[in-house]
Amino acid sequence: MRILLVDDDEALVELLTKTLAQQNYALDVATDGEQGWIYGSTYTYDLIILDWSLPKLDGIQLCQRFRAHDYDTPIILLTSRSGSQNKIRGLDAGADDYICKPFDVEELAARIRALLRRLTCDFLPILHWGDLKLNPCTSEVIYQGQSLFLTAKEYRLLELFLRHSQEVFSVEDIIDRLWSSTEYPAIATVRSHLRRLRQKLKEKGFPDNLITTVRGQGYCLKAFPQDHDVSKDEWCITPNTASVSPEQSNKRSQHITALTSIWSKHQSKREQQLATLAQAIATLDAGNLEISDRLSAIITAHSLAGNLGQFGLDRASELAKEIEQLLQEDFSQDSNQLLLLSHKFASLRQELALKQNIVKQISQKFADNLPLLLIIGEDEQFTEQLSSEAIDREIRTKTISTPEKVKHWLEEKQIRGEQLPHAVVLKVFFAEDAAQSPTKEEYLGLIAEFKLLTPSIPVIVIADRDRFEDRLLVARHGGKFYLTQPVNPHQVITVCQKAAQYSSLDKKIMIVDDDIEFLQTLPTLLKPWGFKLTTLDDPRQFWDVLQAVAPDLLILDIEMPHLSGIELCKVLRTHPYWSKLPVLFLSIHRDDSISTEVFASGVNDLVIKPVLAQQLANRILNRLNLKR
Amino acid sequence: MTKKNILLIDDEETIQEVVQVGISIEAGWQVAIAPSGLVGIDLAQLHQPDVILLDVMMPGMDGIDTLSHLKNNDKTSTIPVIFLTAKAQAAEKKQFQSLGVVDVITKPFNSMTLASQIAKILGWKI
Repeated sequence: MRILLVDDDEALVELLTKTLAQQNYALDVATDGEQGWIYGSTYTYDLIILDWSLPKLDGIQLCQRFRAHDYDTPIILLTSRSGSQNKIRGLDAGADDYICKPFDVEELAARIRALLRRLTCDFLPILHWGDLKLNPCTSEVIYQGQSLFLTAKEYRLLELFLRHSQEVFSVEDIIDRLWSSTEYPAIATVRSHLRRLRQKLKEKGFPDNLITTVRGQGYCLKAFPQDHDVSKDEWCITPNTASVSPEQSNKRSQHITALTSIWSKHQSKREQQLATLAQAIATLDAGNLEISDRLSAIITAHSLAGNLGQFGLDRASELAKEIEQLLQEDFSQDSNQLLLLSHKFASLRQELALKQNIVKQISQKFADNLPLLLIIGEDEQFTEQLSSEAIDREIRTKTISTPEKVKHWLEEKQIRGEQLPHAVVLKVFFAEDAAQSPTKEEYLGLIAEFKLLTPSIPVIVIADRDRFEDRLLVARHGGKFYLTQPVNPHQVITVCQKAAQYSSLDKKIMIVDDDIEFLQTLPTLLKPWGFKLTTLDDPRQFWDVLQAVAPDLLILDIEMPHLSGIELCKVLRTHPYWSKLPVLFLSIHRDDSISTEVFASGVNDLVIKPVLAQQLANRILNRLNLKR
Repeated sequence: MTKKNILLIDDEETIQEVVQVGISIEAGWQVAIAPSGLVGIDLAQLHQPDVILLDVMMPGMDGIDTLSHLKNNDKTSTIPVIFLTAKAQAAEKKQFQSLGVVDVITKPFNSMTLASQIAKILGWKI
């Protein structure tokens, strides 16, 4: 897509040039109003961004000139002038959107996407062609669940054809749309990009003529077969992956590369540290470890514990920590301690040998947008298998052996304000003859603790037998699912995924209410549930904000000036994409007469004000769960 | 916001590099490194950093001693100090705070969020 930016603020131009290029837009920049007019009237743009204050011809005049000459390109006006009067002036001059400086570039990007969707009458935030999905928010292309790696130009070509699925483009049209005015690609270059795009699509199993040649005219997107079942899955809301901006993603990859290189640099030091520990344990076994050597071994284990944890090797770090503690004990009193120490050291070596792929470990550690599964149990083989299955399915894991350690870990996480797990899996033995330590009561207590958290964390219990009384015990303590052994890791992780979907975390909730005071209190009230809230006090902006945000659930006040919640809901239900979006109404009226009208509009639930935070959160969660 | 100057006092080379990478990539702040308490005290007087990240367990002069020197020196007494310490010692957080540290960050920490953690403690905006 090609954008014209008319702005004389060098710093802003630089920032937007970078940001928009990262989002695969071709950008031309003009620094005064007259130059903006020359560009805008000479080339074809999908969108124009205008600053209000411009030399020679200001943004308002330029906007009016474009409209007077029948240019219908969407225009976003940038300005430092806030206030309704200015907004009205800008919009009356013909601008389609208005954004006040300073602004968040991500917000501008979202507004651009919303306007571009409107341009093609396509209200879907994600472009589809059957199982092929292009997400303009993340610049990701996915076919049948797998990412398709395209160059920037291939991506732009595909986006162009998906957005204008009914149009035929000549090579000249394509150049005009996708290259900025400072670039002059040869026709052969464009054809070569097209050929490579077709080739990549073909390799993924696409019909080789997804982009077909129209003899003598150019290229167009093949029409999607009409006999497919659109009712089944077509309109489900696609999970939003836009939470990581290109800038963040770039930083993340820089960070991972830097950490990987630090890890490699200190490889020999780590080997030396392991050799020091091995030597100290052997000497301790022989009974002649000097105090100074023991101190040196303790410091070595301490250093290893700290360092390994920095690279996502949590289990190895925990083992080094245990070795550090064991080295401080008096071995003359208990010979088992020495055995335990040797065992821990062997486990540490084994763990480090298993985790050769450090990039994977580091990426997992920092993939904080991935769900986190807490695995509790002492059966190392079982927890390792579960962990491996989870990682393969893009779930981070944390393994902790006992309920006591879990409590300590949870406490630390809460103190540090860190992400708590999305789901917990633990193994419990109910058989009377099972001499279990920790006891089943300790595990049940732990299940109850997770249940009592706000929001509660689903616990999946893997039990040794299937009896009603055991299920009842687990259910009474707040367990979410009860599985019976034998069960394979694949089945367990599938259930965990299901349980984690109940989680409220990162669910986008949009609330439209003209009561500004109420809107201001909501983020604090609903904070414990981790919803991403978007509040809107002016229902006239409803449609634009709805499309920019793409919420998972919508809350509407019934009585608002200009447009009522009932009207908004009716509008929403006329569009196939939004027809299934869960909607809750807020009302101060308790009488039945209003409920009839409310539910007839297509709303899913009605909440009476004033409402408690817990009550509102539960109603939201119930609706989100029912949607699944 | 203005570029912040951080002083890290830690004897562990790996931690030094991880902190430097984390803070410079994520927040663009400068990180000066001191491998011991003694060097740290000198650098703190010389550079007047915006915050000092201080490891508790170091050979020679440990974090507690270093902190006491910093707090007893007019040139460094007002510089905020954050302790970096292993999990087991996090329980001593209150005790540390009574010594004059503003907060405690436990090791291992997430280098990707370290800068925002510091900013949150000190009320800075990133």
